[in-house]
Parts: sequence; C-alpha cells; structure tokens
Amino acid sequence: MDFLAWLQELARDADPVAPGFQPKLLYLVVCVLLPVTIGLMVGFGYRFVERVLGIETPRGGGH
Amino acid sequence: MSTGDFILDLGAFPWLMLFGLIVGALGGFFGVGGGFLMVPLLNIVFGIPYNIAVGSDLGQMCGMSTAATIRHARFGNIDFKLGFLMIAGTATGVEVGASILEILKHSGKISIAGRQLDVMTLVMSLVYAVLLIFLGQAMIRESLGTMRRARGKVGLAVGVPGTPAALRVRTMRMWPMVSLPSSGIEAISLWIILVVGFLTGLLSGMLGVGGGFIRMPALVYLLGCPTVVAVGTDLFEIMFSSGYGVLTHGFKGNVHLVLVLSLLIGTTVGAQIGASYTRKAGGPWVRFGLGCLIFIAVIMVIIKLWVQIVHG
Repeated sequence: MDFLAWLQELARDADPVAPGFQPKLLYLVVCVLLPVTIGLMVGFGYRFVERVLGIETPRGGGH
Repeated sequence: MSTGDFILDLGAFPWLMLFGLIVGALGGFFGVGGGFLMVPLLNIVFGIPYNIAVGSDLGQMCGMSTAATIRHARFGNIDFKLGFLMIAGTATGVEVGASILEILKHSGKISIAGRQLDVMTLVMSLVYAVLLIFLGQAMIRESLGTMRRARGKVGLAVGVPGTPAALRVRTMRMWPMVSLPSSGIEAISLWIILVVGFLTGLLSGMLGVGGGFIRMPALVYLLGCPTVVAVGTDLFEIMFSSGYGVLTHGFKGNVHLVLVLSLLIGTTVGAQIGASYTRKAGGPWVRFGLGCLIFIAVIMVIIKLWVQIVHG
C-alpha cells in the first residue's frame, strides 16, 4: 500500500490547474517508465515461459 | 480537474483492477484495445473526470501495446519503416488532440435547462456517443453481412481488398514517394502515411483510444498492407502514440499513476483470458456481440449525460 500512496502523492506536488504548472520530473519519468516496464516484463515474461515450456505459437496468430 | 485535485480512494484499487480485468477480457475476446469502452466507463462507473481517464488510459495502453509489440516482433509482423514514418504524423496528432482536451478542461461550465454542466463532460460525452454509434453500427452491419454471405455461400475476394476510391489514393503520385518492402508496397506517397498517422494520433490524444479501428482499415485498404503486418504495425504505432500521449498528458497533470497501475494489471490478465475464449466463438458472432456491447455503452453515456443535465 505504501507504493500506491507514493504514486498517489507523486502527482500532488502543486496545483496542476494553475497557469504555468510544471510537473515534477520524477512524476513524468514514472508516467512513462511504469507502463513500459510492466509491458516489457509481461512481453518478455511470456517469451521466457513459452521457451521454458516449449510452447509453439502459430506464426501470424500469436496474439 | 487534474490529478492534484482528484484524490482516488486507494481502497478502490482492487475494484479498478477488477474493472480492468473485465474490460481487458472483453478487449482480448473481441480483439480490440478497449480504449473506447474504458474511458467512458471510467467516467460513468467511477466518476473519474474525462481528462484523467484519457491520460491514465493512455498509460495502460502503453504497457499493453509494449507487451503485444514484443510478441508481434518475434513473428516478424511489424513493418518498422512504415511504423517510424507514421510516428511523425501520429505525434503531431496526439499533441493537437491533447491540446483540444486541455482547452476543454479550462472551458468552465455551460448552462443547459437551468443546470450547470462542465463543457468538457458535455463535449466528450457527445463525441464518444457519436464515435460509438458509428463503430457499433458498422460492426453490426459488417457481421450480419458476413453471416448472410456465409449462409448464401458467396465466395470472398482474394488478395488485397479495396474500393476504387481507396485504390486511387494508393496509386496517387505525390512527392516524396517511399517504398515499403516489408509490406510489399513498391511506392506510396509519404503524405498518405502522415495523414493516417495524424488522424489516429488526434483520436488518441483527445479520446484516449488506440485508434486501431481507423489505422487498421487504413493500413489494409489505403496503403495495401497485408492484414497480419497491419496488426503488428498498428500495435507498434499504438506503443509510440500512447507513450507520447502519456508524456504530454503528464505535462498537463492528467495521468493518475495508481489508476494506470490498477488498470494495467487488470487488463494484462484479462486480455489473456478473453483471447483464449475467442477461438471458441465464430468471427462474425464475436463482432456482432461487440457491436451490441458498444450500443450498451452509448446508452450508458447518454443516460449519464441526461441525469447530469436533469439533476445537476
């Protein structure tokens, strides 16, 4: 839950509606890195599991 | 309203994950990203403002498309040259779409029948209703047509499909021309690629959708890509457009990180569950079901808007 609270807090550094709002650099980095990291983990995770279990997915119908 | 004003109760995390799982399962079953269902339903079910729903959904989409792109790259389904060329148009479109949403966010309220209503809520609800009606009727008509043809045993054309208008666009000689060997395209105007990218980017930045329902037919019919390459390249493009979209929405304070995380966990699992059931249902029936589901979403959007106008 601490991680969730940290994520929640990260976006609450200022008044984003105010003109000239500048978000934290860390918030912007996490905005992009969080989904990309999970996507990479899932994508390569599947490849790893398929390789370990010897699963052959048909070409062109893999997704 | 931005993420700084909008406080999400952390107790809602499991519910949001369950919601992501359901939308992800539907998306996986019907073979779509589900962005066009996700954003209006986040607003209706959880009361999340449209700008935050759009920004956070783009984050969720970025993760999903990254995972899917890795899989398609393994099968050689991606035309990287086409994808990279399209990015210029897509990025411009995303920026314009996000700027339109930003203008709506600061447009304040409008008085309808003596009630005050957010301009952003009104415009976004109407745009979504029109978009969903267009998509739903197209899907139902196409699926019914396919079922009718299957009953009449009428053969389908083989090869790259296209209407005469699409063929004219494909053969247009407007400098600079590019060749796309991976898609088997000898020469096509760069402008067509950029316009397709811009239009889908615009939808992505403003509505938080992947735009696959426009990019896919455009890649197949307008550019003449093989369907399998169109699917892979579309996902590759969604990865970049949603990545750029989440960054530009982040600058505007529209990305709720807890929402992104919960939806992404739910949709990742749900998409796999949904996809495993797709093969058990017939293709046209799947598309017919999705068309009906879209109309249910339209009705929900209209009811929500009506309630807001009547009850404030």
